[in-house]
Amino acid sequence: MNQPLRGLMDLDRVIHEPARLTIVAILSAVESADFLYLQRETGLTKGNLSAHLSKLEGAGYISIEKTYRGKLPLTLCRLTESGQAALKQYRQQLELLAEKPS
Amino acid sequence: MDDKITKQSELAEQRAMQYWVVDGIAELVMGGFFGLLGLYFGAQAVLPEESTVGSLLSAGFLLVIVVGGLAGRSLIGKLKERLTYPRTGFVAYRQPSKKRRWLTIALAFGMAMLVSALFASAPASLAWIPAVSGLVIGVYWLYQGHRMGVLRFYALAALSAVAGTAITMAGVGETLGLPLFYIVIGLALIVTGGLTLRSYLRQMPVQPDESGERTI
Repeated sequence: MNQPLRGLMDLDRVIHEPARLTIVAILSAVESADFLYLQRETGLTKGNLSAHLSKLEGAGYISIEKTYRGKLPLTLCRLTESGQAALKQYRQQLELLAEKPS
Repeated sequence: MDDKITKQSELAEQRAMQYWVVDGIAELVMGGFFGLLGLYFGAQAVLPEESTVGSLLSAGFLLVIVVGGLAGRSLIGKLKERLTYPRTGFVAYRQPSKKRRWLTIALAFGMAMLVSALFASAPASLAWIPAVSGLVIGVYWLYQGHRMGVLRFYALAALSAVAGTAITMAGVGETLGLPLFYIVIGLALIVTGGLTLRSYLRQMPVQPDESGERTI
């Protein structure tokens, strides 16, 4: 297999998925955001968003904290250091792929 | 593709910044603060300097700014908690880096020194205080409009510059011109903030099941 294609194979599949990439991009811009904000910004259904968040949490890319704001339950999501590093690496990999002649 | 990812990240960042002003609450509170500042300057202009209240007002300027700033911040938080977060969710913003914070302080200090030096060297230029204030505040709104991509901030920038210059040109003098300028800007902010809030509340009903997070 040629080098650029091998680069594609090495891409982080957890981040590569468009919905998860959107979530990570949103969280990379803020300190933390709650479920409702992420749902509105991504346009995903509750179930879908939950599934993607669980996957990102499982990979250690985001942390999910369940808390209360007043009497309302609140689920706060934030990008972990590992998530930031993964996003950075993903972008670098894409940059390399874009530079290589096809 | 990387370019697309970078753009997506930049867009996410800009949307997060826009979210702070999506409901108009910050403008409403800032408008109220500017209006009160106008009344404060007005009271200073009307009351004789040697009177007790006049002296207290003159001495308490920094206190008014600090207390007003803190109270405004707290009020914005409380209103957002009641109106915005149940509708469109909660976002916590990153604290600005130490470097950026110091840069902002240095810039504000530098500008204050520059303006003070200008007025001290040419007392006649005091009449230009409303115009200078209008330009400084106009530049602030211009920067925020560009940073957040919010069109109404450009209108506020233009209004600020025009109002400041017009008040100066009208020849009311800095004693009455400055309060007038702050009251005009305060009212403009209350109007734009109020309209934005009305439109936001109409478009965004409270989410019946805010705790969709339970599904995680």
